[in-house]
Amino acid sequence: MDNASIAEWILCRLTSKERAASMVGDLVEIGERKGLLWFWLSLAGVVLSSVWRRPLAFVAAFYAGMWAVGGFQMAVVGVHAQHRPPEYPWVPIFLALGMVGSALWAMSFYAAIRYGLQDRTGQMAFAWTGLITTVIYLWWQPVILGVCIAAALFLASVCLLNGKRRKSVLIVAVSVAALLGAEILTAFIGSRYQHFLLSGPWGTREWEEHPSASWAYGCMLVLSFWVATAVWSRMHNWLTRSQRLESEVDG
Amino acid sequence: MYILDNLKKINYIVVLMKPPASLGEFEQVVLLAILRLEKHAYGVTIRFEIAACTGREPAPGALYTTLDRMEEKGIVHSWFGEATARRGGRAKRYFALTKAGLAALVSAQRAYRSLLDGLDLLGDANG
Repeated sequence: MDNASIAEWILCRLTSKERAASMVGDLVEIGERKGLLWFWLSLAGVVLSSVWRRPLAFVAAFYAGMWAVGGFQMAVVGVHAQHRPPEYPWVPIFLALGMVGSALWAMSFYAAIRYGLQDRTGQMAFAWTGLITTVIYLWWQPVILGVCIAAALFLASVCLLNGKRRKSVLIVAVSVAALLGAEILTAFIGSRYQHFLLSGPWGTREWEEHPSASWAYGCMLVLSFWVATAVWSRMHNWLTRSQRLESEVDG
Repeated sequence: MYILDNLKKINYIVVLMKPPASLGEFEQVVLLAILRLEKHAYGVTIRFEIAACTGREPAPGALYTTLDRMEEKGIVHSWFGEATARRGGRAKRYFALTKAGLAALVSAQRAYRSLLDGLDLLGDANG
């Protein structure tokens, strides 16, 4: 295997075969004059500039999601204790909003780092995240609740009327659903594993005695975020490819 | 129906009012190089054109990331050309500006020109 073939194989892990071949072809063409060291240093530069966003975006999404889960729990418990809304329908509504909101926080951070703040789909996720977060923290103020509901209805209507925004909403919805589904599966499998290890209630001592349970939950949670971010990434590629084809037809 | 019609009107106005995409400095440099090269703009020639005009050779990583990002934004489009023996039988990926890309570049250059208006920055006094 010669240098160019190895370089092409490496780049194929990050982009399409055709693009990888054209990049390596460019490097081979310039490398004739600049030498082998330049070729490999340039390849390292191409690889680094292509991949740095992905791991950073994933880590940020994980932390944002976990932070939001904790923050929303505190907010819901605190506001509930202070204002005592009727059990039904507020408890299921808060539960649903908290779960969707934390998933949206995770996906918004992922999109912002991976695709930049000007990305339409990321902006859409941030808009819904802002609305849900405001409702969770300030639902007991009727004016703010009313404004949030009106804004949500307006946003939903505007999204449904435009094809590109409809696709963006679809990406946000499917990714959030994937994360929530994977988290529910994590909770189910984790609880079965806990029961397998030790039936009955678990306290601090039980968790310390069975560290594999914490590890199992942690790994499955990371896997859940990986599934959701992979769904977002694939669907985003599909969206940008279709938009590119449209703009090529227009151009 | 009345509400739906009004929402459609608002949506239409929002689409019409959409400004051209904003471009960074390096993005403008790359787009101008592509324009200068006309139908011969691919990785190697774009890099050489930028080096010849600005005296700075862009790193291949920065150039490909910028080109991919601009393609995702619909500012440029690319197609694969002929494969040559010099490149080990690998095809060239050519680039051209889309309508949206040209509009964004014109808008950015107009902004530069209006900022330069009234200044003698490019005159004899500054070499």
